[in-house]
Order: sequence, then C-alpha cells, then structure tokens
Amino acid sequence: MTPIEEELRDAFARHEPDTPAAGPVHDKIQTAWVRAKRRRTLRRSASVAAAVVLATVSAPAALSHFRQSAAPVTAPAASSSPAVARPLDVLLVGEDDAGDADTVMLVHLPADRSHIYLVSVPRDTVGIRGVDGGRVPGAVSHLTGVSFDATVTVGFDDLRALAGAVGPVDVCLPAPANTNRFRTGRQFEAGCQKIGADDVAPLLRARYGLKEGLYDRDRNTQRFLRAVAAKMTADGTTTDPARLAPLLTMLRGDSEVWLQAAASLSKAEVVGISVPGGAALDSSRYLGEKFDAAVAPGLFAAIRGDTLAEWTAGHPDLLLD
Amino acid sequence: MTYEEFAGSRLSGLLRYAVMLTGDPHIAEDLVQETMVRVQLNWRRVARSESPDSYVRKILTNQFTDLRRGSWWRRVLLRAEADPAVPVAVDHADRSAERDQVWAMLGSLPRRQRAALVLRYYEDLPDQEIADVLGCAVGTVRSSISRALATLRTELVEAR
Repeated sequence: MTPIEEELRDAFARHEPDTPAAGPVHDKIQTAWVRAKRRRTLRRSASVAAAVVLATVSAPAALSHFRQSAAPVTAPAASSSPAVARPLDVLLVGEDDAGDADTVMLVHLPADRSHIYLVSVPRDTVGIRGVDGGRVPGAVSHLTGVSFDATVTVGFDDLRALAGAVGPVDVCLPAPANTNRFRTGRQFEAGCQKIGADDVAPLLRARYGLKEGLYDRDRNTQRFLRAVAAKMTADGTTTDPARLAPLLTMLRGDSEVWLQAAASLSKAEVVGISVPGGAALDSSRYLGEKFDAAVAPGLFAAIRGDTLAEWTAGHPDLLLD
Repeated sequence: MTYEEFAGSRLSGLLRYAVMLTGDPHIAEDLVQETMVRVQLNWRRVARSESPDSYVRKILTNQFTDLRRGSWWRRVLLRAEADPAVPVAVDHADRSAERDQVWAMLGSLPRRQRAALVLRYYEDLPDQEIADVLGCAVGTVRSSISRALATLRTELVEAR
C-alpha cells in the first residue's frame, strides 16, 4: 500500500460520518416514486391505447378475410349473419418484455357500436398488483363488477410492426415536440408530417417542449391513431392479406369476439377515459393505487349497464382529448 | 426479496457510497433518491438479476458518471450551495487541513476515475467487479486508477 493509497482510505473513512440518515431519505424516495409511477402509468396506457385501437379497427376485417380464404367450403352466410346486438366487454392486457401484465384496460363496445370506450386501470391497483398474468381478468372483474367476453394480450413490440404494415400516415401536430428534455433528441416540428414505423415510438415518447408535457403527448398519440385508423379503412389495407399478416400476430386469446364486433367498428368514435385515483398508503408505505371512490363506482356501473354515453356526457374532464 | 427489504438493509450503504462519489451529503441524497426510484420502477428485473446489489450499484454509478442521464444533475445545477468540486471543510489545525487535501482533490478528478477509486479503496471491490460496474475492461480500470493516483500525488506534492 503506497502512502497515497493510505491517505485515500483515511479520507474515505473520515468522511463516513457525513452520510445522511437513511430514514428521511427513504420517505423522500417513496414520495418521488409515487409521482414517477403515476407518470409511467399514463405513458404505458397511451401505448396500449394505440395497440388496442388498431386491433379493434383492423382485427374484425382481418380475421373475417382470413377465415373466408381458409375455409371457403363452409357456408359463410350462417356464421356471418348479424350477431344479436349486445354490448361487448373486452379486457386488454399489455405485456412487458418479460411477459408480465403491465397495463390493464377495459374496452367497452356499446350495443349500438357507435363508440369504442377505452378505460385504463392502473396495473398497480390494489387487488391487481402482484397478481399472476392468468388471474388478472378475474381480479379486474372482482374490482369492477364487469365480466369480460374476451381477453386480448398485446406485446409492446407489436406496435412498431403494426405501423410498418400500415405504412406512413399524415399526422398534424399543433406544437413542436422533442424526445429529450435537453432538446437534443428526435425533434418533431409543428404542422403536418409523414409518420412511419421508425417515427412511431419517438412520436409517442416526445413530450419535451410541449406546454402540458405528457398530456399533450397523449393527444399526439390520439392524433396518430386517428390517422392510422382513417388510412386503414380508406385505402383498403384491411383487405390485403400480405399487409395484414403482421397485424394478426398481435392478437392472442379469444379472437372470435373481434369477429362479432364487425367491420362497422371502423366508423366508431374512440373515447379514452381515465379513472381518477391515487396512491393507497399504509402510513408512508406504498401499497398500490386505488380508485377515486367518488367517481369509479358510477363509471363501472355505466359500463355494466351500457350507459357510458350518458356517463361521459357528465364527465367531460375525464375524457382524453 | 421485496423492494422494501432491499431498501431497508441497503439504503445506508448506498448513501455512504454516494457520499464518497459526490463528496457532498445533499448531492448524495439526490443521487440515491433518483437511483432508488429507478430501482423501484424496474424492481422485478432487479430482483431477478444475479446480484441485485451490484445491479443497483451499477445504476447509481452510471447516474453519477453520465451527466445527462439523470435529473439529479439538474438539481445539482439548480442548487445554489456547495459546488461538489470545492471542499467545504477547512480545518485550521494544519495537520488535518493537509489531510483533507486528498478529499478536496478527488472533486477535480474525472468522474469515472473518482468512481474507480471509491470502488477500490472504499468499497474494496476486486478490479474485475469494478470493471463490471463501470462497464469497461479490467485494463481500463487499472490504468484509470493509476492515472488518478498519479494526479493526486502530483497535486499533493505541489500543495505541500
């Protein structure tokens, strides 16, 4: 050990007492964590909303097309006769790369198929948090009282493939946005522009430079989705098997329900609803998220009773865009 | 292991490590806070890793060495008080002031060099593990430590 090395060790040892006490730091971390988690929930919901809207718009047409070409002998008239119009509830589970349920969203299709309602439920809601993937639908049903006609699982990577299959779309941004807080990342200028597969992830992440940050960014996500939905229904993508193949990979689980939902959905209006909520704390310990008790029960009752049109009219502040 | 268990047993050690890296208790607190929020966001991945301890040490060290990565650095810039590079402690007893010169000079070293010194002489890690934390080759660790020691030696001679 050289003298300088010894001096170093001494200096480190001498300054050990400068170390702050762990208790107060722990509390600060918990406060910051609750904030960070809320931001993340918003971000994830936007990505999955993108995927589910595209799935909702494209899957019925895609699946009916493949079904016809694969089994032309069976009488299509019988199976494609209009299903009895009833509301449909689909649970969308967004998986992270590890295959864990990361985002949970209720998709409600009213009996008149005039809208597609997307209701996000924070994954960390007490009662869902920590539940095994397979038991998530049961847990959500238990919390909300809604029983699901189907569960659909979407991987985050699917979004890019989906955008690649659809091709570039025109998106008009009201303000410039950047992917980096130092404005050194990908810059999107205000105005109309082509958004291709490589632009999708940056666009959905770009929130810097925007007046309301994440909220404006989520509005950009919706602008992108509308553009995609419009393009797919307008240019006939939904009838081209080669371009549809990548779209089908994103649908797992019971796909029969998408057939029932029918192609008329491409004309439905997409409505995003955020369930207000907050941290559930046991003294300062974070247990998970909990719904706002004043709002959530009414929302879930409106889903069960298929009266979301009335409910959304009374809660314009909770609707996306 | 749950996040709570991990934080309960490791937080003090991480704070000590951050004090050695930054030389300032307040900045150390910010750095650890930023790190632990990230750790919690990715807890399942951290818990599944071979060694959660070294994973977390790596995150913290990266935050420290990469200025642009963490918002804690913005807080450092916004903070009007003590510049991390300038030592506060001036002891008028000559001997102890002289002893603290080493501590003061650590602040003028490049961050990766300082991290390498802390990992070897405070955390007592073998060079291979230091290389893992810093994400570089063992040879790079050794050369940056000897460069750092040489700088300190020269400056000390000039100062005394």
